[in-house]
Amino acid sequence: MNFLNFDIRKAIALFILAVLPLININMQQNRTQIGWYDKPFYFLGSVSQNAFFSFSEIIRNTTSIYVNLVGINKKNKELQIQNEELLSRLQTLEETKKENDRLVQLLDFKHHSKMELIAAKVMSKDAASDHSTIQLNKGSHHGLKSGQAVITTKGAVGYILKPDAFTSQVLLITDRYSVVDGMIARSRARGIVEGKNQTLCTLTYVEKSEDVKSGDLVVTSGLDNIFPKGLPIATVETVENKTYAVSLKVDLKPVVDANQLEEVFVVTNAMNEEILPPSVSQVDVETK
Amino acid sequence: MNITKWISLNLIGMILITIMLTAIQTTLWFQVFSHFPSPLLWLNVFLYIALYRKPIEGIIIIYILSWALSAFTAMPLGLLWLNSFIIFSIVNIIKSRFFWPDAKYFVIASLFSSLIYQVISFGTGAFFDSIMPALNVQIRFFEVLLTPITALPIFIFLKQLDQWTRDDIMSNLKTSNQQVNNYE
Repeated sequence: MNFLNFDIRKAIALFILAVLPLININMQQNRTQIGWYDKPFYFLGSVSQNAFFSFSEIIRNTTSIYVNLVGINKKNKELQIQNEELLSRLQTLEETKKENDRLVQLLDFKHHSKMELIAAKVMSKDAASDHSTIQLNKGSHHGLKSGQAVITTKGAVGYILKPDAFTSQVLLITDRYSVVDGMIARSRARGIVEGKNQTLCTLTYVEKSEDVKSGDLVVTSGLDNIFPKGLPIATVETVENKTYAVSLKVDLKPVVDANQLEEVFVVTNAMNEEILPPSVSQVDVETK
Repeated sequence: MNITKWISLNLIGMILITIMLTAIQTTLWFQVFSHFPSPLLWLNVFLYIALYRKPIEGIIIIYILSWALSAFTAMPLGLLWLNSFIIFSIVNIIKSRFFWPDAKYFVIASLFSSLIYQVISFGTGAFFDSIMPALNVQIRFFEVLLTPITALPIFIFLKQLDQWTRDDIMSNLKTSNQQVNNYE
């Protein structure tokens, strides 16, 4: 049957189906709430993602053991196995040490901060490459709500977009839907940090008279009711002052590399804490 | 079991497969390959529906699957529906010109649909969102390259599901296959 040969009833049905997405786009209001009609899909999604998350950890462990045992010579089989096993253990120990260092750093941050924080692991990324979101292994069951800040010891990561019972979707600051109120730590010039692509952000609405230089640290202003004040967001990459533009064009490089995220903190209560940002050079060293 | 029950069973199967494949794409792939671009596994299910279902039925199923997919992405449901509708229409227009129901065709169609998905998602994002989507040529290139590689096992799996639950479609396919053979 030819797709284009249809009767009037089919034409009406097709028209309704074609218009439905446009109506939905126009009627969309609150994207942070999960409706009752979405819940089954979110439930199934989180269950399957949790299952694959656990499964992938098993695969990773098995693969690392297998890789370490490849290439065993017949002559010194026993010795080599022992050697490889020791190496494997050493590698595991090194990995554990790294994880331990990371966790100690996180724990230290948690102890020294007045904020109420929940630690979470990064489970997955967005299904569409046009968007920069990650999925955490904690959800509303653990006290997570939409609009809560997601941070690391280095700085801002993003905020909770859609929390499910046991998982949560985090909109990274690099996503084009993301908007965070920020300011230059040195000159206190204010602007809005918007996502640009998977690795960059922009600082918009910065007045042309403001003092912004390449290498400046951008921190949260605390006015968006998402992030506590003073949390590092990004460093200024380039500043363009075009004659016909009404504001400065500032490109930013986030201080937190989303590609290397493993554990994060969700701020459940900022307790009005104002974070003293580290010096720009210190952030540079950490980023490098 | 009557036909409605089989169709419902088939639809539930399709939803579960879409959710499983998207979870593999977003979680398992991410845990193993980190941020290296992943194949769009869900797109192969959408393509299968576009090729092996009647237009109205196909669009409705694809809308339901997009709804399930919205749990895995920040893309608004309206945009997901719009992208799916456009891909469905283009695939059906091409299908009306030339179509043979086998795996090779599906793999070629998968390559083509992943390519048009990139163009359409960029276009609709640029048109409906206030901020232009990023071009990300490298990521899009790998997605286009990897999606057809995964098409074959998904095709076999979905065809098997149809054989279990939708005998009407499979008998139609056999007839059209015979017609192609007779013509040759």
